[in-house]
Amino acid sequence: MRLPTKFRIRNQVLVFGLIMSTLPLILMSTYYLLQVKAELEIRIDERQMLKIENLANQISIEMEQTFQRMEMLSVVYDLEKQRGLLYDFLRQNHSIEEVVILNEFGQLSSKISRYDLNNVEKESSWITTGMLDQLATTNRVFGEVEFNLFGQPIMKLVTPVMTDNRENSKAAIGVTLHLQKIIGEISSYQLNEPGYVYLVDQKKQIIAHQDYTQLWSQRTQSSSEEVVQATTEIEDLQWNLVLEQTKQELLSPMYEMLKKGILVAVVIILFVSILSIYAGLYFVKPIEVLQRAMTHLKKGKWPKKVKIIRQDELGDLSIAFNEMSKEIEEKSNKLLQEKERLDIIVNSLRAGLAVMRSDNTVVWVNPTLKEWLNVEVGIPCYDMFCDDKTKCSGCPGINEEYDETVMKQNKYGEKRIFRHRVYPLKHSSNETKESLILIEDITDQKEMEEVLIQTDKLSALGLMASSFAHEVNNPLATIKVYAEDLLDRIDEEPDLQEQEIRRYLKTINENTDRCKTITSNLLNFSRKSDWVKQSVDVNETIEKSIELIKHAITKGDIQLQLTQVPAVFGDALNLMQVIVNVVNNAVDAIEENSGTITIESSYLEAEKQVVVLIKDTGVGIEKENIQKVFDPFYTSKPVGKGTGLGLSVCYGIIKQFGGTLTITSEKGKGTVVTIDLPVG
Amino acid sequence: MNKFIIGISGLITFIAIVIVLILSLEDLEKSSYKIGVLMTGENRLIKLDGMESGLEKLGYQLDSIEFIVEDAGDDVSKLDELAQDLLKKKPDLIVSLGGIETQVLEKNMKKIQTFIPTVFVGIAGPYELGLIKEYKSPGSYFTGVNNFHMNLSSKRLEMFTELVPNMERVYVIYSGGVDISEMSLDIVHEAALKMNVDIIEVDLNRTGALKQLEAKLINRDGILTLPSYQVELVAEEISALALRKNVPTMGIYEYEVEAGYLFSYGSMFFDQGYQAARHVSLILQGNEASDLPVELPDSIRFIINEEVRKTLAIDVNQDISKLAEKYERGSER
Repeated sequence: MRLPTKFRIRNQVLVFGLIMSTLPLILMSTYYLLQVKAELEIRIDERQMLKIENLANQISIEMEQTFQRMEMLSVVYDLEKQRGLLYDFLRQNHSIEEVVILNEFGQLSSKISRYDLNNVEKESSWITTGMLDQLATTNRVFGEVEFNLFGQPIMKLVTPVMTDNRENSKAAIGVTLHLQKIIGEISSYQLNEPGYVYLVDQKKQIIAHQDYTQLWSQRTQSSSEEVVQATTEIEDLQWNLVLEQTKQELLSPMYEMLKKGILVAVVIILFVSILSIYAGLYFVKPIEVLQRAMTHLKKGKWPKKVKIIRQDELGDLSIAFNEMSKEIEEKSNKLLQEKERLDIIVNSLRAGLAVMRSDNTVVWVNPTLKEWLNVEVGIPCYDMFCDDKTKCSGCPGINEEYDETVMKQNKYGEKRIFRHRVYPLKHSSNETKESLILIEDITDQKEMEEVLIQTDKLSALGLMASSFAHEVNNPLATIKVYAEDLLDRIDEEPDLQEQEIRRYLKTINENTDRCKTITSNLLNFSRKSDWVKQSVDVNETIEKSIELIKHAITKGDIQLQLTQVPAVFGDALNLMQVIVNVVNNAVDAIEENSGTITIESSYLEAEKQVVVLIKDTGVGIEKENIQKVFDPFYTSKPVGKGTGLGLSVCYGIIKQFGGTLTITSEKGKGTVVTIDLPVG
Repeated sequence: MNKFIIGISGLITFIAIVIVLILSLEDLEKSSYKIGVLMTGENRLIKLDGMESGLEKLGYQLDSIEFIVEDAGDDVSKLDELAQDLLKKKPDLIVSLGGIETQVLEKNMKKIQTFIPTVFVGIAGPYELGLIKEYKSPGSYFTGVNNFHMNLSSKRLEMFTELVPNMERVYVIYSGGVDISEMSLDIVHEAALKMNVDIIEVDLNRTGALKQLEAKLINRDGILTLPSYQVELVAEEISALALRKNVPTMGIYEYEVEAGYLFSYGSMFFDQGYQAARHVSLILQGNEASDLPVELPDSIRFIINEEVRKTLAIDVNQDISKLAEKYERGSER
């Protein structure tokens, strides 16, 4: 599967390169910008104040100088006759349009003008009443800004005459000052940053402004929060000089720098991006080659050897990949061989196999099981045997081994016996625990076992036939004797006493019962019966077994050492067959009536097992033959003495009890057969 | 090795690109202004010098300003054509260095309906000539410095008669047909009436006017010249004539005193240019010419030629002399 573009390592390397080339730049620029902004604002504030204070000082100085000169004139006696001084005064200040002498009523007395004729209309008013009033209390009177006939802004300055004989002199000296130079210098003042310098008179009228549309309008407080103002007052005039700049304008050098920085950063980023692409391709190409090879590998196509183009770690990786690929190919081939073998085995095996998970779902079945039980993948395992929708009772779960025999109809409706075993698989994952189910059809085996058991029984019966006959003959002879004797006596003795007859009949009856018991035991033993699971009294079974064969025992001495043991579960008749078989073998092992057969029963509390030991002091078994004694048809007895089925049948029966049958023997000393039977 | 060389070359190229980029940004930042200049003749150049000084004082780099100078070479008839050329070049603004230049520009702007803000440098009576609606707010494409020479004509008559108290008649030279000159004559007449001074008109455009004047001049006469580019052009002739007749002459400009006039009272060319630089700056900074008040001259200079005074042996009024600057050869400003 091809990865989405964004996850491809080449793109990731590229993105990483871009981030690493832009992020530090952005962070550094932001930090620098913030620092510079703060510093710039402080410096601009200081510079603004310095500029306007400088400008304001120039205006103040000019006014101060004008007044000082006027005050110097004011002390001159009979100034009207000293006109030369007035011309000299005019020469000293080009902004003064005219200098006038006023009488004590503020009326024009004489005038020296730079532009107009000097002739005046006597007693014409020159200053306002307000200025005249001020003149009474202050030496320096500033008029308001007004306009002359040519629309030029002017201002009148007045100072009183200070001569000794003041009553005879003129009251004041006045000048008309041209403001256009002041206005022009402020208006055309070059700011390094965009903004406005303007001058506001005492009536809040803008008398100088770089934006001439604002000129002569009323100053209004700027409503914009972004505007930064620096204001200084020209005290005597009560004028305010204002430098107004928007923050945007103030910081424009910084923004300009930022703009340049961004442009340079873009170029750098482009350069770094190209490097990133190159580096991405350089580093990623071998990885992509490996990735393509890996994808081929995943699809089961064996890639050609990856070309080793680098001598670094990626080169080592390519070498390792080639080695790994080769190894995987070899192992995969071996695995395929193994799988082929296993498939053949599994498919040809006459046993059903299935794999189930911890949720009891069957995830795999072999063809045999599918044929037997019509099992499909995906069904729960209990569907196979219980035909139920819930777990079978007694199911031990997936983690334990399990072994039981169950009977089920196959798809043809035949009842078949199956051995059902479960083996947990150790290498299944934790999330999906798996177990192997092994199903064997043991119907034929069971039937064979029954035949063998029956054959063994019949064999035993055959061996016991003469002793049985002898055993029956004795009571039959007794019956015959008593019956003949009774008939004779009845004929001979008509008055035969009833008591005597009763005695005869009792003896006949007892012997008949004895015959019945014998034949009944024989019949029981020879009966072919199904395995019946029931509670079995072991000691009673031992005793019945001995009873059955005691007439056949012609040699040796049998000793019973039975202790009280709990019942076991199984088929009593089959257990009897085992004991009969083992005891018969023991009898055969004893030579010339000189041996002893001991049968012991005991209970092992800890193991919950009933143990039956059958010991003989017979000839024993050769060491090399011990392991053969359970083989079917193996016998050490002479021909006609045994079928060779005995111990193998016994072994099968005891196993069916869930117990074990073991034999220990020493040549010449005897044999011990141990039967362990589980209780419960 | 090749890869190393390619890498180093790439790095150097990259650094070079960045440097070029930064430098080109710097260049872009430099504003470049285009200013058209119209003038009648070389004598106006001093106004341009004054303007350049003014602009430098205001912080301008002159190399960032392109001046397109159209000079009529003292041939007024060429002004029309030059004005049209200038308007076609569409400068950011035009500087007209005199009254006649401004009038020609106005006429041509209206003719081709191309209006470019114009700063006039030293024009006498812009309102009277109809170039502006009012001094405070001109309301047109024209603004600049009114040299006040028209209105100043009466003041100059007053100063002339006070300076030379024994003068009995004043010959007033003007240019007939030149608006400013004729208007100045009217003002002089009005002032003479007030001052009870005898004045005699001399129309320079009349044939042989100066010769006739020379013939009429006698002792205790004086000559007063009125604003006119034509009068300005014959300053040396008038000066020579006056000296020959031993009569004082009152002019306007410093160069007239230099040429031999006894007095001059007016706004100097250099000062007018220097002052008009403020208007130029304000327009370049985005103000409309119609909003910029026409200004009177910042300074009016009164100059006395001491050599001429001595030659003429005239005792001038000492009071008014306090206002004067004394011109002596070699002390040119």
